[in-house]
Amino acid sequence: MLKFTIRRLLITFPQLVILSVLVFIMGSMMPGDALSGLIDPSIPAEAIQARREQLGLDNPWYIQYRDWIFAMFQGDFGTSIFHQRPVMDVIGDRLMNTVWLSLFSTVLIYLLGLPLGLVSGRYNDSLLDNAITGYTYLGFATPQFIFGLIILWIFGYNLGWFPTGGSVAPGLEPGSIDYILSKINHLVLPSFAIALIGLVGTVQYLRSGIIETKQKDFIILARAKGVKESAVYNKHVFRNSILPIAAFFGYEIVALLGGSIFIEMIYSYPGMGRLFLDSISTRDFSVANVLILFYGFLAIVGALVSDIILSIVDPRIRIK
Amino acid sequence: MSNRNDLNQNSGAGRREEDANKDKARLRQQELDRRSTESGDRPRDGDPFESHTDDDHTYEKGDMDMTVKADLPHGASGHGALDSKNLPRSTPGWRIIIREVIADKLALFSLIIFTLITAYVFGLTMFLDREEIVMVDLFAINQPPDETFRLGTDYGGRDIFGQLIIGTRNSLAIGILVTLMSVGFGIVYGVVSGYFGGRVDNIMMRIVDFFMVLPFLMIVIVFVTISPSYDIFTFSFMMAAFLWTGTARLIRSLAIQERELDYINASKTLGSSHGKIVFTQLMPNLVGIIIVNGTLSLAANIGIESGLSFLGFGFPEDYPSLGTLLAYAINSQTLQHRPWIWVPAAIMILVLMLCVRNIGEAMRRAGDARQRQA
Repeated sequence: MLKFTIRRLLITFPQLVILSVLVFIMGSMMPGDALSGLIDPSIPAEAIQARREQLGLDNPWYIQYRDWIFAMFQGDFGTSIFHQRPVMDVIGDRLMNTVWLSLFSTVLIYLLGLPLGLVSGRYNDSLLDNAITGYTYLGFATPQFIFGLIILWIFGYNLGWFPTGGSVAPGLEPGSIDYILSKINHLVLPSFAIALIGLVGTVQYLRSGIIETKQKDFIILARAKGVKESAVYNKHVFRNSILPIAAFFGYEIVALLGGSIFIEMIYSYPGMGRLFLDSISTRDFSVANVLILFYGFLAIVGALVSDIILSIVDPRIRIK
Repeated sequence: MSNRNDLNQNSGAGRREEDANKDKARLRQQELDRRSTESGDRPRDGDPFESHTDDDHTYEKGDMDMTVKADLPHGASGHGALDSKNLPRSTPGWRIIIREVIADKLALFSLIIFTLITAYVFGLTMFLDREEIVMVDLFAINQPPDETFRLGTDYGGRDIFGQLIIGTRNSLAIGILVTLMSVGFGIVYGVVSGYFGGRVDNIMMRIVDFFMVLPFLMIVIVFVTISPSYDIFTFSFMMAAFLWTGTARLIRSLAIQERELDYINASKTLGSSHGKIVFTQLMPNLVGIIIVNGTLSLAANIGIESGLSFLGFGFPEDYPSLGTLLAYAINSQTLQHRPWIWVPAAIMILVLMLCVRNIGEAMRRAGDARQRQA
């Protein structure tokens, strides 16, 4: 167990290094550098050159890369040219919005997906199961952004039940009850749009897991012992079918964080995905770069967590 | 998601209840239809497209013992004890696939719809003048559908119907190109990694692991933004550069299973070169899986391409794709009051993706003798 974890950790470090190199190369391919946003046309060219040398912008790439990494370890992620503020502050404003959105969607996915999968697997081939599998079949073929648009169109505009954009109503005192309620109200549509498409995978895997498990001998034994039918499913079958889903929790969270770009755009929700798109369109590449690094880092850690959970629940992985 | 596929293998146990229904043809049909929706369900046998004689039909009716194989895989010329000339000729994988797709009414219907749309769109674009369609006409802004404009116009007075046709063609073309590139590279990568194994495999798979954790969408968006100019090929290439990993992993796992089988070992013992084994013996046994994988990737790639153009990182507005039309719906006025602009494109994407998926799922079922309907 420990050996596996250490080996898995060792793979993580080269991944992080290559990711940072990749982002660095992309950064140097992008037009503009830390100075171009500050340059006043009246400054003489020599002064700019002197400043460039002072900032180390003419150093060979490996020196620049080293300086860049060291700066990040000290918490300096550069300055946003567009906002004229440190990148970390700009991201910090949006971070919590995306975290809330992902949290809500994750809770919804498991809150809706697990019962649906359980019912679908327990009563397989019933009318209810056919309806659920029909839905998952459609869900697999529906791109998230189309679903998000349709949900917004129906519930946001035509029925007018929920706000159609933003993360909170203007003019409310942060921290007050109204403020929190308004936040939740703004989260309903985007998180349902993510969850109703995101849960199809969970439903499918739980369903086939349950159909597989309920035929096993230990379930027949449990029934023979006289365990109640509901307890057979809710305890024995469910516990043994949930493992793969639990193991992929890490990947799921990362996929949600990355996939929220579309939803944040459609619902004009001020999260990190929206910030990324805005910074691309305003050519504010220093922000975009840090965001890519951030998402890549999250994905690497998510994969690491998933693999470790997987090795705990499935001993066969460890032998390799 | 492809990670999950490795875990999700339907055991034979789940099929026991299928037995109970086997005399009720209608119920069985439902079961099979339902099966078709299970995306992660991969055939259990090492060689899912193992050659298939008419005798096998007896096993299909729920017989649990699938290990009996009456015939040999392709390329098994080296079996000394068996006289291959006397064995029944095996049905090639692609013929099983075609038979299965025709037998499945839904898949056949999807195939017809998809072929019609493709033929109509590619045929009509030869006669449509793109320049004329994307020309701004300020006297016909945002018109609802009428006689002149069958599907109305957008904010620039451009005909939606013409844009829909051209957009469908562009989305299909990019989807197909991306699929060809990514699946092609994935096959080569997977076969090399799986067939040779060892340290090569180890290093190659670490590279795949790395590609899988990259924030693909963001990186493509950056590439699209900073590249000074791109055409349909370079755009497809940028997408394909990140989409080959699923195929590579799948093909690798199959190549590893295949490598251990007797016919490859026999061929090696007889002194065949690696090239001969890979191209004449290993690859023919993977063709079926490759076609299925390519079809299912095509559905996904159409979605990804329209997603990118939806965000505004596809082609410019005078080269519309289906995502471009949907992007007009970002404007709340358009979303709310001018559905003729974006609804047809949304329906078109859904229809295309559903059709391609239906065909792909039927093909995938053909790879598992127990689920075949034909």
